[in-house]
Amino acid sequence: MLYRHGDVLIQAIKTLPRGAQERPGTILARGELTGHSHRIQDPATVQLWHLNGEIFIEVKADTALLIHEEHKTIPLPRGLYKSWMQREYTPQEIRRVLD
Amino acid sequence: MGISAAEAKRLILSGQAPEHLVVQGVLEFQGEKQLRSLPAFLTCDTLDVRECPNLHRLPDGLSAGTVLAGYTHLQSVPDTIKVKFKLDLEGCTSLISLPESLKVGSLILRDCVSLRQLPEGLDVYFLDVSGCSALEHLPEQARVQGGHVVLRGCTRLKSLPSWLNRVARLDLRGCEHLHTLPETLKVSGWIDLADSGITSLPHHGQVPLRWKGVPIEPRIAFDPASITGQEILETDNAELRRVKLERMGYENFLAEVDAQILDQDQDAGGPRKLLKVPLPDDEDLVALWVICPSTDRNYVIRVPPKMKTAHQAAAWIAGFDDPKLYQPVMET
Repeated sequence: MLYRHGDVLIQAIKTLPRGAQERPGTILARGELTGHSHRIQDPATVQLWHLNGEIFIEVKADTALLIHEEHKTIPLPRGLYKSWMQREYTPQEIRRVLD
Repeated sequence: MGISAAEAKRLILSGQAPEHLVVQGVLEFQGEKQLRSLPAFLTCDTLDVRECPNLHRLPDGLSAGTVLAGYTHLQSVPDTIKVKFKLDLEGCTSLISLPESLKVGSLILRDCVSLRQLPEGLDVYFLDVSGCSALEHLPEQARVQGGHVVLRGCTRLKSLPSWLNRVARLDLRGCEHLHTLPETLKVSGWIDLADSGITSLPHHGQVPLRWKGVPIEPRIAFDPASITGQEILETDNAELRRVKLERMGYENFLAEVDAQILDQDQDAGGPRKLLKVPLPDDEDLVALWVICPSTDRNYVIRVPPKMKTAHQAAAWIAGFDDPKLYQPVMET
């Protein structure tokens, strides 16, 4: 199950990778310029994890709401997810899309 | 004489550390879930409590050279804290207040998104409040002693105070509601004003400018209508070419240079197009033009030049080298 929330991708996974560490807060990504963020609305519904720069979402309630100032809300059902950013090409490097 | 950092760590985690502990070396707890409190009047060279999820406050009377407390649930910092060199609170999204007259060399408050104000009497050399999107104004009285000031992404800031009169570098990226700078402000290095509300600098004519880190001439910032497609194609430096492209607008550029449509289809936002622009003495610029389904804004995102279809390009942007694997159930 794959979701796209602006420049953030969310995909359901079966297990957390070994070595993932708890990550405080509910923010998945923050706009460099706008200060707007992709985040889970209610901290009680999730635990974030991270490993090697990747973020994982553990939805502990029936539903966690993925929100952003500009993008419509996506309800994530209970389960585990991996989150990452879009990429873009330049002749010098492939990098995450900067917003 | 103090005790070693290892011994102090053992005492603190066992809950048996006395007050007024003096520790030599780096007291390192990064990511430690067992850390719930620190002893009052702790003295150490460096205290690292980054990402400690159960630490909700710093102790009274803490004295340190450097305190790294980013990504914790701190809501405030005690009035009695003394930090000589650096206080780093990056990502403390619950932080709402700092002590009045806080004096420290470097103060890092990056992404403290709940922080609405800085303390009166703040005294620092370097200040980084980038991403503090709730910050509405700087203190009426404070001092930055000639260092760097990073206000990047402080989208609610509408003005800068007159006490901010001498800085080395000033990063104003994304300060969209900031339209003027104090006449008395002197910047010895540069100002980065990308996507800020500043459209001219009548009192700061000689200050070198940057746009997202790229040195630019004032015309690029203040008169983007003067940029032509031909000028962009003839700009050798790729970073400067990117800035000029951004300032002219991808849409205007693509129209002016007569971009070729390689493929087009539909996604959740409406029509999307894969475009190609041949660049002289360079690889083709191939980009996917998409419309955001939530905001209706147009985006052009560059993809590898070998892309053949719009779906293949969209999949690549999403991180999928195999387009068949890119089947989102919801896009907003």
